[in-house]
Amino acid sequence: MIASPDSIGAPVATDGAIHLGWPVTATGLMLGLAIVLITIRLLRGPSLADRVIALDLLGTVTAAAIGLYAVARDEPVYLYVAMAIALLLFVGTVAFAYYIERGPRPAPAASPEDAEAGS
Amino acid sequence: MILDLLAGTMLLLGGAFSLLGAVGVIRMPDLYTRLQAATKTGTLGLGCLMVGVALHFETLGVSVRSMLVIAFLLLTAPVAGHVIARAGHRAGTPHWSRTVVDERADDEPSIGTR
Repeated sequence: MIASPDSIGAPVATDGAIHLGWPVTATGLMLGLAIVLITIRLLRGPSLADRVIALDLLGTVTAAAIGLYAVARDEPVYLYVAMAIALLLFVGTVAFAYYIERGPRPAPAASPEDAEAGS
Repeated sequence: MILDLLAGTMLLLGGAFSLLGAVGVIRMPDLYTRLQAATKTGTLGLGCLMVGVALHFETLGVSVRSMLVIAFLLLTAPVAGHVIARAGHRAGTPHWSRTVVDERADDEPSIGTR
């Protein structure tokens, strides 16, 4: 396979076939198995922090799968999706951590705000 | 030819690291051990796979984009892991029964001290 200088919008295989042969297939199988295992941990994590860790790793593996898909389809445009996921994952994790750190107990002595929020 | 070989090797390495991270997340007994399994292998898995992507498309733009992904990951993954570990510890997530030492055991589970 000869890589053209600008491969954007110029896929070599017109039918969307897999290029690189069995390494792409094997990597896809490994990533799929990883996603299944992480989803099991996400569904039955004992604590909320476990679920957040599983979600974080799930997002990372998803970005890896999108990179692999870009290789398999020979379309480097999909890498923007991987960039966006890698950026937004951090924001989501930090937001979850903030609310875990707040704790499940209600905020003490905030009755006027509670009444205002309830109305 | 040799670049394709290298790209395939890096892709396989990234997939293997991701799978190892998933196995670690399933098999580890504790929040903190799971966290250290997930963060490192996730970073290394996506990093290796992005190097493979950059070796497959031999263009400058793709290389810059994949290096950008790796840079984001190297900057944010340790911070996210640390923040989650601290939040879980303050929320009182139980340790493994064979944990030897908890150096932040007297860290009060307080609100708003950061």
